[in-house]
Amino acid sequence: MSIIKLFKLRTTPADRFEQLVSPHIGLMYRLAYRLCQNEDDAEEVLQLLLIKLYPKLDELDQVDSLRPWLMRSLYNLYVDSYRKQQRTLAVISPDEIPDSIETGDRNPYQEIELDDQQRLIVDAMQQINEEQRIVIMLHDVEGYTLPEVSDILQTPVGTLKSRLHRGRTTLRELADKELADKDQADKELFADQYRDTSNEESLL
Amino acid sequence: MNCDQAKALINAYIDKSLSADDVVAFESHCADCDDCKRELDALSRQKQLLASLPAVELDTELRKRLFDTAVKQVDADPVEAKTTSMPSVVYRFAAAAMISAIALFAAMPYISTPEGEDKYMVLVSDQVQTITVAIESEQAIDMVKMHVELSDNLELKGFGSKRQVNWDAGLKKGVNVISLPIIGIAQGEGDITTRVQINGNEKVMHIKTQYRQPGNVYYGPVEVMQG
Repeated sequence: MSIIKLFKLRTTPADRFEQLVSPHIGLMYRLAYRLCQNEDDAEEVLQLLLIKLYPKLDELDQVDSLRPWLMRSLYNLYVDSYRKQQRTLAVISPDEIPDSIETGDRNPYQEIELDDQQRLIVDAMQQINEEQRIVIMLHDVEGYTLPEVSDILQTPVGTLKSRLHRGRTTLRELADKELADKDQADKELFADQYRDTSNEESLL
Repeated sequence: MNCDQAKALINAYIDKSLSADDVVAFESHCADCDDCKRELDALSRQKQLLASLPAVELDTELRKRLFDTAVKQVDADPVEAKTTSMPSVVYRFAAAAMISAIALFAAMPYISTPEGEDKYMVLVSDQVQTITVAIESEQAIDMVKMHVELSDNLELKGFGSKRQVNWDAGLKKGVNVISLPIIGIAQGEGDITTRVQINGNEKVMHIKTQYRQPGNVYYGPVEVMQG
């Protein structure tokens, strides 16, 4: 028996699983985060995927291009479980829903420091159509090419292009609006402060 | 090239996917058209801004925890793990045995120890700990009876002193999830019992908890049993 064969026999399934998936898990986590938009849910979806994949180690071993396969599986799981979960949570009778049940409306990046412009764009991202947001996230934020995005989302490149372009335009309009609203709010705040100061001076 | 034609090409220009001829025509139009130039600048800035958004990185500890949890959970109950569905797998089962097509599992914080304990959960007395119970069903089921029961030293945020919550629910095919915001209110071991009942048959899962004093780290074992 060759040393390599002997070595393979001595490797536990857990080791083999980790060796196979580990080179890709960082990217999988980033994808999960972009999809779920918060770290807790990203971890949960990724955990669920690993639990599903581990018993299928032999199948996993046979996959030619593992990275895109894993990314696709992650996206499928996100669609099948996490995204449905947002709706399925309503199975709890409405008057018994605890206040703190997560509804997926959490703003991402809550714990990450962003500058004003980044904050503005992140806020605007929350308001666009999910299909468009995911393509923008994968293509413009994560830097995947459209064929790669097409492979992950199993959607034709033409459809993705259209979503990307419409999403960018909507995003720009929303960001402009947020900026205009912010300017208006700043002006009103300044006017209020000016009036307060004037009143204080007139009292003196 | 007019403005409509130019605007139709802006995204392709930004993505560098225009032909050389189109690039020349587009740039030539933008050089003379303030409106299209403004649009191009705005979308280019937006793309740069998006590319600058910070990414999350998977740290070593979380990476280890993810693998360890998968291995431990599957090794603890390989039959259960096999029922988790991948997109390409088709399951068949008799309607009468519907309950057997339901799997319950929990996603929770845990820490492994050198002694090889299976799973752990931490509760901090004054903090909400969200426990996710996943109910995986191999088919859509119109109505199941759901029960969540807590031991006296636990509370479900938003439910006050109520120890048991019962409701009817429909299950989708695939994974259905309940997030339980749990607070530990007194010391000692606790228990969260989740039951899913169909026509008098049931699946039960117990999650053991240990209370942790704030500032005094203590990890207790969690035992997950399948009914």
